[in-house]
Amino acid sequence: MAFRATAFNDAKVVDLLKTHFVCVGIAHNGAGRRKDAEGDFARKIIGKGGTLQGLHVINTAGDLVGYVYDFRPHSVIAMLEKALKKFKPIAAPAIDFKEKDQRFTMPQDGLVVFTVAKVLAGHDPVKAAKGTIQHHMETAWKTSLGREHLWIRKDEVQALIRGELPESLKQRIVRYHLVDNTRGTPTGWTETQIKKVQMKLSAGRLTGSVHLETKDGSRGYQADLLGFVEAKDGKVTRFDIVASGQFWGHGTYTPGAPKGRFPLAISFTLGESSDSLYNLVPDAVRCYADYLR
Amino acid sequence: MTSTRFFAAALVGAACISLHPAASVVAQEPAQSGLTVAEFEKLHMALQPPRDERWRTIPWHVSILEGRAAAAKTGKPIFVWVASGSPLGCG
Repeated sequence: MAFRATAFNDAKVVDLLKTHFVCVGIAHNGAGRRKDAEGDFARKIIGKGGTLQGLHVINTAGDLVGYVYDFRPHSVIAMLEKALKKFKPIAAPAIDFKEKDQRFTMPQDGLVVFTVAKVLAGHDPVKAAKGTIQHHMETAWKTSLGREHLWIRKDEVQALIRGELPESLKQRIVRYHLVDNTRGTPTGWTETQIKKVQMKLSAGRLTGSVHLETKDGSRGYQADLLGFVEAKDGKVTRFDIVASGQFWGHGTYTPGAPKGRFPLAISFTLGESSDSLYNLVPDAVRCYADYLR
Repeated sequence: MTSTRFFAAALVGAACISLHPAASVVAQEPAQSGLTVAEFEKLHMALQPPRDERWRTIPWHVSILEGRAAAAKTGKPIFVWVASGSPLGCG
């Protein structure tokens, strides 16, 4: 989230990107793991800048034209302008992308639900001096919205239309989406870490509560859920749910959680297919091979 | 808790999944929520991403091959933001 609050919050950077570039965002451990043409092409780029992450400019052959891993807008602008001078369009033979890695492919006739998590309180005040890049980054870190997509299979969609909440969907929500992803990729819950889960869908109203906790008690979430799931003319028309409760601890890649227990809320909202990020593969898909089971 | 015990608990726990309104009368521990509708509405609204985020005004592609095809068509260079975890999603 730091790039969003720094370089990609700078008017000149954004204008340069919108005007002169085709922009793509990928995970080196997501697209880079795909067993298809998307993965093959991603692997041409990943690591070319010297690290696994960063901002790259490439041509259609995957040749590196520019690279920087710096949050400061002036550094990004300098790289982009230099890359524009160096870049020359080349022939781009079509790449066959009919065979897609099914693990990373949205279920046919499924649904996409956007989820957003937020730590509601508990972070220490921002310490970095105002006006500095560090202040922007620390503020972003402590106020971030953790975004993710929930994929729902066709058979689960049909169950929702009938007014049912399938066990498989309930498990997916609990294990992979009741998480604190506000500071990066979260750690999901194993089956043995589910101490209690009660979820009921009745007459379009979803109610429930959960208690999730690691064996050593270092990470957990106790929350209530309330939401509304509606269908009309054979389509799910509403999937609005909120989970709200007390979270504690952090995952492997999400250090910096508030100390002790802190309030964490997570919302679920039916995705809009017109959203340019609608087809984004859930981060949980790359992390958990059994995500769609 | 083993997976077997979890599923047993889930079954007892709430006939849980009341499939139809008529089925919800099954005598099991009902799922309840400590959240009120007012709290739900307030939180659901508060957790919608702002519509005016500058980074979202960039027309991002989520597929590098789709981006490559667009670049081939327009003759533009491809800007690729690579991160650990989807940079357009998580966090």
